[in-house]
Amino acid sequence: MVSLIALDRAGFLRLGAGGAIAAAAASGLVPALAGAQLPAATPLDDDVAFLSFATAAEAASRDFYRAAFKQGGTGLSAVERRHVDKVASAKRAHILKLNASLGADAPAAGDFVTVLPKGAVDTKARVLALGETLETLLVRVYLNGVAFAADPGTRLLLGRLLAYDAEQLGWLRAAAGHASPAGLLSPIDLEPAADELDAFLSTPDFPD
Amino acid sequence: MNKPQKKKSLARRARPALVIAFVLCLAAPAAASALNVFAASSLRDVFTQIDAGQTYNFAASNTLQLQIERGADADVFASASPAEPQALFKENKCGRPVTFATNKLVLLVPKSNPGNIRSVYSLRAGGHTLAVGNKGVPVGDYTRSLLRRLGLSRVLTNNTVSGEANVANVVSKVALGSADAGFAYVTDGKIAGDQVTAIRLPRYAQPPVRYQICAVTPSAGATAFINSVRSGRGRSILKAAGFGLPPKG
Repeated sequence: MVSLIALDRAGFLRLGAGGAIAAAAASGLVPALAGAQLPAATPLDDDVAFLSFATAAEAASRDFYRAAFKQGGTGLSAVERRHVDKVASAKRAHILKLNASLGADAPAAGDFVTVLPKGAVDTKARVLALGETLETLLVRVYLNGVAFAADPGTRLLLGRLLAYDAEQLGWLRAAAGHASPAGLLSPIDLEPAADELDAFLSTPDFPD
Repeated sequence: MNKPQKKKSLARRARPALVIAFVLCLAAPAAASALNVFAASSLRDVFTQIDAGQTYNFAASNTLQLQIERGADADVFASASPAEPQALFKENKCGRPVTFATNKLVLLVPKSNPGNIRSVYSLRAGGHTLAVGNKGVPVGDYTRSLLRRLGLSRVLTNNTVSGEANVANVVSKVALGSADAGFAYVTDGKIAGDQVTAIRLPRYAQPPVRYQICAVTPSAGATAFINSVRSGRGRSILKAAGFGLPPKG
């Protein structure tokens, strides 16, 4: 069930200001200011599911970007490698934000580890293909979360992550020389999304 | 037959009886010194394989913790979650706990699967009978944590749930067909493999299931038992039963 965001005038203005700052930050004018005044996520009911999935999937994509940055000889240009490194750092910050929102429900270090397919970062084509897979999964889950999370703060957080990851998806596609898709991406339910994510996760001390 | 020869023959005949008496003398103290091992229900099969010579009390870890707090005569405590032994350690009622095994949750359904449950998400529809560990019982707490991470907490209200005191009861309910499904450990699914099917649960939602062991009454025997659980042989038995293992150390 979709519920409307209940905001008073002050809240609305804060959001507007936040949006303006975020837009400015995206254009590189006001880095690091966006989000300072935004309402915190206080997940209600099953909102925790979107945040739990997000923290695991963002961790998998962060590990992927790190691996791609560390791997030499992939064919990524120096500019592309710098971008990949920057995204890995941003993802780290996003995970901290997600974990803070999850509180006691946040996964502990070592609950799961990322397992990338063999040779996943050996070549530029593979890097870009896997990056696109992971970002597409995240964007589709965030679309679902934005539509169905009950708490406005959680929806806002998911929306901000959606904006960031959609930007990365666009970057990966452009770097791969792919045309932008003609249609719109569809939201994905957490059940098939969990199956997709499981391919990149393993439980430590419990080999499958 | 002269006297010394007679004596020699008597001694020879008495030798087996002496040997038996000696063995009995050795065995008596050994039986008396059997340890009281309090262990989580899910450890029943492996612990009796690792050391059949001890006296075991298998139950839910939180129940065992309570018994120890109330002064039950336990030498060793092995729990399905760190919470109970860590609480006892803080109360100075057991030595420092160590992790010796890990596990994972699965959803068990009867082989015939009358509820037609294909994944944990099938439970969203409601109308099923579920066997779930009670709150406070490790398997019950792990189940609730997993469902929360999956956004499926409502399956505990839109299905008919029977609360169980320990994981063995969950498995029995499912194996006997009294429940359409139940949340248990992957190792339980292996034990009851001919009666139940284990359905995998998403990795990202798995709570970390860690088994810890500690000496309640410090003794050489308690230390030896803990060492035997953590030994190469103990680890092989745990691994064969489907448990995960922490790094050696």
